[in-house]
Amino acid sequence: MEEKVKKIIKEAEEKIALIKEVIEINELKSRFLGKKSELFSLTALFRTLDSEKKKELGILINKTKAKIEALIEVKREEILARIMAEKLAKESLDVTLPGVMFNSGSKHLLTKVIEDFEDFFIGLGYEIKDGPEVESDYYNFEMLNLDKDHPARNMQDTFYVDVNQLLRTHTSPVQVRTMEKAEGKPIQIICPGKVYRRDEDDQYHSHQFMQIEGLVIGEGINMTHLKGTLLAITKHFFGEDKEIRLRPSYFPFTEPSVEVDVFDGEGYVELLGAGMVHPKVLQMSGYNPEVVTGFAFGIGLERLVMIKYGLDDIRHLYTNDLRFLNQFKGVK
Amino acid sequence: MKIATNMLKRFVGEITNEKLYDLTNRYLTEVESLTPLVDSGELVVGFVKESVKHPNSDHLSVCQVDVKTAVKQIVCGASNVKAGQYVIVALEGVTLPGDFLIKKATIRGVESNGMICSLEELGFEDKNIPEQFKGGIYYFDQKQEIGSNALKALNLDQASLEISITPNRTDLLSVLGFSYDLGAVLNKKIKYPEPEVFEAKIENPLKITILDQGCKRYYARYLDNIKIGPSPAWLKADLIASGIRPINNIVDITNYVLLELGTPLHAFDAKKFGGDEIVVKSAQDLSEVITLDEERRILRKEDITITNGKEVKAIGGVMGLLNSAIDEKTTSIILEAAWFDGKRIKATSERLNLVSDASYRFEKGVDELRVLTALNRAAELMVELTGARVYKNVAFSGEPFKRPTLIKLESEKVNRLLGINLSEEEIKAILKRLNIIETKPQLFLIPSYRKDLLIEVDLIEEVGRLYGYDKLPTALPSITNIGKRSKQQTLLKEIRNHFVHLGLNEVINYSLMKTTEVHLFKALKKATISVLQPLSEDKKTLRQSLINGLVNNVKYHQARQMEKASFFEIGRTYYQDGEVNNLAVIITGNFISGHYLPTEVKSDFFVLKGLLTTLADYLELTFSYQKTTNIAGLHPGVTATILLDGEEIGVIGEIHPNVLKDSYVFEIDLDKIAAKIALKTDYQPISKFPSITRDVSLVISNDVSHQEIAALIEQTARKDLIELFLFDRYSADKFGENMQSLAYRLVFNSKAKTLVKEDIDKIMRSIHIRLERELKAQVRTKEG
Repeated sequence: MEEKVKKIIKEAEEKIALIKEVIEINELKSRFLGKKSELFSLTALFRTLDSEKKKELGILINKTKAKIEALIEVKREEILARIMAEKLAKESLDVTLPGVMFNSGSKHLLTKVIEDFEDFFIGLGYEIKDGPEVESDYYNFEMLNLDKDHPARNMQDTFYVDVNQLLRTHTSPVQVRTMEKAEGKPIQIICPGKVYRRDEDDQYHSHQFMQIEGLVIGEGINMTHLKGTLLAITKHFFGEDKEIRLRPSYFPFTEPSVEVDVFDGEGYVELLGAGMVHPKVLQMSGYNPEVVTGFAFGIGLERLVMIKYGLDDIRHLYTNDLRFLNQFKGVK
Repeated sequence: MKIATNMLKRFVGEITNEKLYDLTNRYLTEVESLTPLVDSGELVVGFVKESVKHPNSDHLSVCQVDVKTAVKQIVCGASNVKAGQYVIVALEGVTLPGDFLIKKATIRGVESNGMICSLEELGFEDKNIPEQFKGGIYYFDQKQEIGSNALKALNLDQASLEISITPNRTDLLSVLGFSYDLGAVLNKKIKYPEPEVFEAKIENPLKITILDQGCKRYYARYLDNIKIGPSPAWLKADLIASGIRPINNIVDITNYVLLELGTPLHAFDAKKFGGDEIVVKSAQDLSEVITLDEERRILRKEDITITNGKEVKAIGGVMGLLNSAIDEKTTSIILEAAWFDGKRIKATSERLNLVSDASYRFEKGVDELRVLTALNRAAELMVELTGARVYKNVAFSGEPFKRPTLIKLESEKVNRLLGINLSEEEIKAILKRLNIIETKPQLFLIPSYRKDLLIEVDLIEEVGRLYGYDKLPTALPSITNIGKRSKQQTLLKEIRNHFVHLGLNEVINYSLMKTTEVHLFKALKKATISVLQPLSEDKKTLRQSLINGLVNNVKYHQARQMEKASFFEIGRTYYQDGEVNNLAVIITGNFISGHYLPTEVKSDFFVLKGLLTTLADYLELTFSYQKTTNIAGLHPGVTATILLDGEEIGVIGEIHPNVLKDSYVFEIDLDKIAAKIALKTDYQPISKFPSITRDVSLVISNDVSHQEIAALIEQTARKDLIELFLFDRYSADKFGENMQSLAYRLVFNSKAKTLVKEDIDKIMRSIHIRLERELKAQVRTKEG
């Protein structure tokens, strides 16, 4: 019996070694393990054997079966591995070929800078406020201590829409509107937005541009807070190593008024105007200047962007050339 | 305004250009520029000992020039060089303006060791070069010390300090005023020496009558024996450094005093004036005069005139008339110093479009206490420089001076606003440097030239400015508020991010546009807003659509062979009743380029609609569409209005091929969308039960829209239909004319139970029946 089984195993081993395809495995399975297999035919002997021998034969058959099954399984895995290897070899790509050309979008540089400033000021506890671009003379000028004779109210410098309405020349009217609504409570806001001045467009002028103005009002607000805030803005936007210089200046709505320069390594470059809110402005908007004080600043965004990014022409910011727009992506 | 630094130094003493530049910026006002008058190395006075013709040239001379240290042989090309002249010499190694380095040279065989300079070579503008020196070298009219500094001898060793002056600081419009302020910074008392006029014994014959209140005070002197001629070099140099062209001694002196004291003066030719009577009165309405600049001008009764009682001789505070102008033959003059109302002068100057140095200063405000001083200063200089004889006494008419301004200042207020801690004494000391003196406790007297100081905070600013903004500490305000964007601002930011991530480029266009195109992309023609004085016709009216700008952006790129573009803009549109935040998107060319790959996606209506749908999904909103044909700038067959909950919120379509080829746009009102967005916090559980899928194919008329079919299916299937999409669509002749074949897939699922096939079959039958009955479809169904 042992001999017979050995022969079966030997034969199975020989046949298994020869096969190449998965389909042949099933044939082998039925040939060596199926009901018509030689191994199975051995079970016919059971009837002739006593229980001891029967048990021995049973174990032998099962062992042989398991052995052949194991052999087949090894072979199957071998074939599958080979097939997979062939398939993968066939699917090999030139991975250096370019991918599908999706557009990668871009935010406008001015938007990026505005959002950056907004996030910075939100971190300092400021709210972001906006207001109408078509403004009244009252909010744009009168409430900011710009009397009727002030040169800025000249028709030559301002786009008037009618006698009382104009395109705002700064975002300061948003400050006034906020002050009026605040009913004497403290304020910390920045107001980004479009403003308009009657300038012919050229390399350095644009009839439409962006401003971010800031306003802080409360008890105990003084000029050191203004200077600290201006320094913080400058360091945030231009780098930690930058220093500022304050120069005396004049705005009807602030006093003292200053202009702020940044030292760019070679010399000072003018950045923005700022000052302590004029007592008349506070008073007109419902604050008692004997009790509260405030500071304000106004940033011309294009100017800052031109300095930081080395732009030579403000019109790049409004031409919207893709070759320009696509230069400002990601976290810069 | 330009300040000659040598004039300044006469008051404040020696100061380097660097220090002047820095202090002016930090403490006074913004410096525009600080430019040396002659940008060269050291130039010396040379004496031409001999000048002979060059052996090999007709127009060159060979000169032997004594420069003290040596006698240099110099070849000179100027025809006016002569022996005996004191000249300006640039020796070897000196650089002249324009980076012109003087080197030893051999000119046509003759050695030359330097250069005799012309004024042109020193960088003088042609208008500032006297006739006699044009095209030739400069030579001194008097003996000079040989070898000495030639620029110093000519008062050219100075710079021009150009400053910009804010409207409040009119006191800086004179060298003296500037010096007072710089003196305060340097803590140096500035004294102006009272002019000493040598008067003759003959009494001033002038009589002044003021009939117009626009003139508050009028002083006049009478001078004769005048010899009109050029001014001395020092005076000319100071004027040139101040940006003023020298003319003749009398005019130059009035200009010089204007620069020094900020007081405009006027000199009339006394003979042409016609009489000793000076009457200041309002102009006769519509009378015609010719001003010194030889322009005809029409006067109005609001203008102030200086007359001899009958005839106008000057427009007061603005400009003299030609009929009394100084010329070479003038020997006697009437010298005027007056104080006019700035508002009146401004009105006249603006109406006549005539801004003079005088009108500019009157408009800004002249220190009334300096008017008489200026008159005497000019008379003093005229005696010295023109040989004039000054008649005894000053003729005068006018009001007494106003009381000086007094301002109350509490030191606690200074510290409160500036955030520093100065003692009362320190504050007083700072103000004293500015000639602001405490008269009674906390009450300060303001000098007459500081017209900008009116209220307490003005003085606080002065203390801060002189204390030095550099010295201010820095701090951040302690804010207890919570910083944030509004809901609306957050929405705009999120939408912007959404489209950037989809691969679109954000643009920012101008709000002002051509009036005629405002409604090109609008169905509703709402009233527009235009500016009264546009810079040009194409920047006249505020936009009501962002599409116009986007179309221009695409045109710009198509003109530059860039066919592929996808832009969006978020911005305002403007109406009589307010402003609306819009979003617009334009796509053209390939939306996704495959190149060698088969993945190319060409921009079309459905690509765009897909983009819009991603926004709707992101915001958890559902848009519906209604075909429309009434927008001029859009393709009538490929345009729809976009609806949200039945409300029109925008438009989507193809740009009309007459406007732009193969471009697709949509524009929506973000304010309307913002109003519909609700904060959702309830989560939807995920179904544990299997789904059932069914397809329905139908042949139906092209006139029935997808939206109608989908609506019918959804209505019929109701709550368990979780997905419905069109997966196949084609037209073929076999379906008949104007017919299409559509195939929809429906997915059913319930969160509560496993759906029963029979129930779904029942629903599908209802759908079939309704499709056939209500939409006249032929339904061919396959069970899923």
